[in-house]
Amino acid sequence: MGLSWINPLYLTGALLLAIPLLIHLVQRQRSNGIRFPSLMFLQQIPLREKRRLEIRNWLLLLLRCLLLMLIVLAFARPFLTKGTGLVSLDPGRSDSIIVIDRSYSMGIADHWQQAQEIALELVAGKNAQDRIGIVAFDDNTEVLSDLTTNVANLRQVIERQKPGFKTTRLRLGLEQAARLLATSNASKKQIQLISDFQSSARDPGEPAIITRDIDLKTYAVNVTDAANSTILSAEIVSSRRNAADEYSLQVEIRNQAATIEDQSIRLVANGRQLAQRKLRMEPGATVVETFDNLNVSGDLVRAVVSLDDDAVALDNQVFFVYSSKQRVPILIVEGPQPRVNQSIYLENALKLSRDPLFSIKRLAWWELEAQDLAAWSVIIINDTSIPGGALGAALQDFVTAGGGLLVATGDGVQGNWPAGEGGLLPGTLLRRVDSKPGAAPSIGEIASDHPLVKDNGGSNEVDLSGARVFSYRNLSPNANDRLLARYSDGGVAILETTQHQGRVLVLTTTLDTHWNDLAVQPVFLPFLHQTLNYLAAFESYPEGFEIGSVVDVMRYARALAGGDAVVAAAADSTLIIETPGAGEIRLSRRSPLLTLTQPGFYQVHRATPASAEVVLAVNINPTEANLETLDVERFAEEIKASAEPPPSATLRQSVEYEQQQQLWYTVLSLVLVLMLVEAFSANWMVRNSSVSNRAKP
Amino acid sequence: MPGLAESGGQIPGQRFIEPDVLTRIDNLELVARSVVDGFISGLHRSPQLGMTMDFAEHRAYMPGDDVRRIDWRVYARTDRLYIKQFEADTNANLHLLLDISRSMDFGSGAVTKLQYAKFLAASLAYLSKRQRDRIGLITFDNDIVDMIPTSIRHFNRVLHTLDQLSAGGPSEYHRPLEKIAKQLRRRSLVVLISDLYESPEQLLSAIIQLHYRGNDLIVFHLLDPLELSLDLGQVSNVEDLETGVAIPIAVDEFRERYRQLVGEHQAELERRFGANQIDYIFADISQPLDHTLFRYLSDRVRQNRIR
Repeated sequence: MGLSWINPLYLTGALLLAIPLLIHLVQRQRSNGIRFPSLMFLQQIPLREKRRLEIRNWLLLLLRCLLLMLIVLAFARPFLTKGTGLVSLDPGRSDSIIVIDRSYSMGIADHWQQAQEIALELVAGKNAQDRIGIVAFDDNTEVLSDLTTNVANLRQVIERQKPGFKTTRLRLGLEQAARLLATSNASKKQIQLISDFQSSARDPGEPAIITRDIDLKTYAVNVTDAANSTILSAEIVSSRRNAADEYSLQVEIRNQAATIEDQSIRLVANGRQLAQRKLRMEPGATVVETFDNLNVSGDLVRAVVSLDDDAVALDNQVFFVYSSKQRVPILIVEGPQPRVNQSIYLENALKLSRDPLFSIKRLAWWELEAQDLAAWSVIIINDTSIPGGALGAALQDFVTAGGGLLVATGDGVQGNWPAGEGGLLPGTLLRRVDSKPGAAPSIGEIASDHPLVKDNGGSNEVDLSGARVFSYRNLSPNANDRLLARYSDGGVAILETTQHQGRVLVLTTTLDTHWNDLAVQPVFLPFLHQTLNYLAAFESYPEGFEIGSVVDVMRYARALAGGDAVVAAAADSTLIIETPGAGEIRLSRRSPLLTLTQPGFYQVHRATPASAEVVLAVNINPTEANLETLDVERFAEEIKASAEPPPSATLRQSVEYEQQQQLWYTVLSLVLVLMLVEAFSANWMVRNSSVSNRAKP
Repeated sequence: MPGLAESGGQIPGQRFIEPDVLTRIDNLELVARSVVDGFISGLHRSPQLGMTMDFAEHRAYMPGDDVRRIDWRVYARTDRLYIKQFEADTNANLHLLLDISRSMDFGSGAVTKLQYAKFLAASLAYLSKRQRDRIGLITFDNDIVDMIPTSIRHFNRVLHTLDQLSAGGPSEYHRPLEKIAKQLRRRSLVVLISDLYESPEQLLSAIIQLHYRGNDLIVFHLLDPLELSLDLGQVSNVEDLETGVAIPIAVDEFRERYRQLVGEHQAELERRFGANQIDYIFADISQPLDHTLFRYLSDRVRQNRIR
C-alpha cells in the first residue's frame, strides 16, 4: 500500500508552510510591542539572537502548518495504491481486439465463413501470453469476449456467432475496440478488423477515434460478385375515387449487379398473390413499379412484395401492412331533442378528413351502454347535458384511460356544472351570454403554443378571429384548467383540462350556426380536424419499421380498429408478440417496448383468444444490400492519421483510483474542522496574552 | 505616631484609600483631605523655630504644640489655650518638586505615576496647609515647567496647577534641579517626586545641590508594578516612552536580570541618599496613597526625635 498523487506538482505548494513560520517569527515582534517608561535597565541586558527568533505558540504554529499541508495535499489529489503500486507496461505482451462485422451483408455467400476462419487463425497464431478480445458489430456493438489468453473460449465465441440483419457501422466497432484497449498495459496493442468493408459502412467525414498506440490491421473478406437486385422501398399511396378508398403500391427496385437483366416481381397480400410481373432492368438501373387497386377486405392487410431469389435473398422482399380501416372512431352525442342539423356541419367536416380518416357515429345518451364507450377514440358531446350514474362514471373512466372528450355548450346543456360530473369537466359553467346586436365578439386571444393551433410544426396556425359568436355560455376557469382561447369581449371560448392520459376540451358555444358562424368559416375544417387529432392523440399507423427499431406497441394499437380490442383487453394482462422467426415475446402493457430484430411480421395480440391483433412489418435497411466496397488501405490510413495521442495508462489508472477513493474530500473535511480549531485557539491565545492592552502608555 | 514604619504600614484602625478610588474624585483638595484628614495633625515642627517674631495670628492649642508658645495673656482673659503664631515660627517652606517627564505618564493599573504623584503632592500640600506651612510647587522635565513660589496662600494655586498638569518631555535632573537650587533662598523642606530613571551618581549629584543649601530633602521614588516585575506577558519589543527608541526583548529571559537591576538601583539610591541625609521613600503606585504618606510621616517623626 502506497500513497500517490494525481497532481504531484501541487505538492510544491508545501513551500507555503513558510508563511505561518514567518508569521510566528516576525509578526509577533512587530505587533506585540509595548511602550515602557524607560529602557534604562532593559538596555543593560544583552539579547541573544536565538531568543529573538524563538517561536512561541508552537501548538498554533503546528496547527496552521498542518492546515496548509492538508490543503496542499488535497489539491495534489492523493490516492492509495495497492501492492507494488500502479501497473506498469508489460514489454513482452501484446493485446489485440478482433473486431468482426456481423451485419447482414456478411451473411451473403461465404462471407461469414471467411470472417470466422480469419478470426480463428488470429486466435490460433497468438503467443501464450498475448491476450485477445472479441467485439462484434453491425449498427451496434457487443463485446463477445474481453481480453483473455484463453484460446478455447475465444474459438467457442467465434464459432457461436452468426451474422444478423442490421447495417454496418465500422466506426462503432473500432471505437469499442479502442475503449477495451485503453485499459491495457501491454506494450503492443492491435485492432484486427474483419469485414466486407462496404462503402456504406463508413460514416462520412467522421473517422473512428482511436489512439496512436493502437495498431490497426484490416482483413477484408472476398466479396462475392453475385448477381443481386434490391427493393429499395415500397410505399402505399391512398386515394379516394368515387367516394371509396383506393390504395396503390409504388415499389422502387435497383439492379445492383451487372449480370441480371430479367427479374420477376410478385405482390402477395394476406397470403394471396395479387400480381406478378416481369421486370427488365439494365445493370445498375433503378425502376419504380406501381400496383394499383389494392382494395382488400379485412381490417389489416399484410403484404409482401418480392423479387426472384438471387445471391442476396434478404433484400429481395419488403414486408408492409396497410389498413383500409385505419380510422379514428368518433362518437357524437346529442340530446333528446336536437336542433335540426345540429351535428350536420360537424359530421361533414369530419368526413372530409383524409389523414386520419374518421369513422363517425351519432347517438343519444339513452342509446348508449356504459361498456360501449371504450370503443371510441373521441366523444363529442354536442350541446347536451353530461350523463350521470353508470354512464357518467363510464365517461370518467373513458377519459382517465386516455380518451378524448369535446363538449360544445349551448342551451342544451341543462343547469350549470360542476353538478355531479366529478371534476371531469373544466371550470364552472354559468348562464348564457348574448352579444349586443352588431357587436358580436370573435374568438380573439388564443394560446399560440398549443398543439391545437400548431399541429403542423407551427406552420398551419388556426386563426379563428374571422368567426362571429352571437351567444355563448359563461365559463369560469378553475385553477388547474388551461385557457386556450378567449372571446374578444373577454369571455372564455375554449378551456382544457386533463385527466391522467385523457384530454377534455370545452367550446362554450355551439358547433352549428345556432350561436355563431364558425361552422361556415373556412377555418372550421382545420380547427375541427386538429382538435380531434389532438383529443385522439392520433398516431399514423406505420407501414413498416427498420430492423433495430424499438417501438411502443400500445402507441400504434389505438390507430387500428382491431387494435382497440387489444388495448382494451390488455389493460391488465400480458401482450403476446409472435416474431417472424416463430418465436414468442411477452410484454406487459405497462412496459410495451419491443425491439425489432428480424425482418418479417411481428404479430401482437392478447393471450386468448388470439383474434384482434396489431401487426408490425419489419424490413432490413436496403443500403446494406449494396456490396460495393471501399478502399480499405486508404480507410485504415485515414483512421491512423486522425488518431489521438494516447493518454498515459498510468495516469488513467491513477485517475480511476483517485476517483474511487476521493481522499481529497476527506482531507478537505479535516481542513474545515482544523480551521475551526485554529480560529478558536488563536482567539483564546490572543485574549490571554493581551497584557499590552492593559498597560497605558 | 511612633512605630508606624516598624509596623510595615499596618496602622491599627487606619483606612487605606486605593489609588483607583481616588481617581474617581475630581477635586484634588477633596482627594488630599480624604487622604490626610482624620489621622494627621502636627507631626512635624518648624525647622526654624522663633527665627523671627513677626506675629501672624493666634490659633487654638493642639496637642503636640510647644507649651512655651501658649499665649498666657489670652489664656488669662479667655481661659482658653491659644498659641501665638509668627511667620517664621509656624511656617516651614515646603517645595514640592514634581517630575512631569513623559516616563511618569505610565501606569498598568488605575492610575499613572503622574496621577499618583499629583495625589501625593496634593496630600502633602494639604498636610502642610493644615500646619500653616508655606507651600510652593515646581514641575520639571528637562527644564522647569511651572514654578509657584512658596506662600501660605498658595495652596489653591498649587492644587489648580497640579490639576492642570500633563506629562511633558524627556526627563533630566541636573539642569532643572540646579536652577531650582538657585531659586531657593530660605531653608526649605524640599519634596522631590519622580521615577528617578537616572543613575544613582547622576541623581545624587543633581539632588545634592538642593541639600547643600540647608534644605531638608525628601525623595519619593514612584514606580508602577510592571516596572518592578517586568511581567509583560508575550511582548517581543518595548519602546521608550520618552525617546521612542524600540528594542527587542525576551521577557522571560530578561525578567530576572531586570528585577535584579531595579532592586540594585533602589538599594543604591537608598544607600547614597541615606548617606547624605536625604530621605528616600519608595512607593509602588498600586499601593494606597495614605500608606505611602504614613511611611513618610513616620519617617519624619522618627527623624525629629533623633534631632
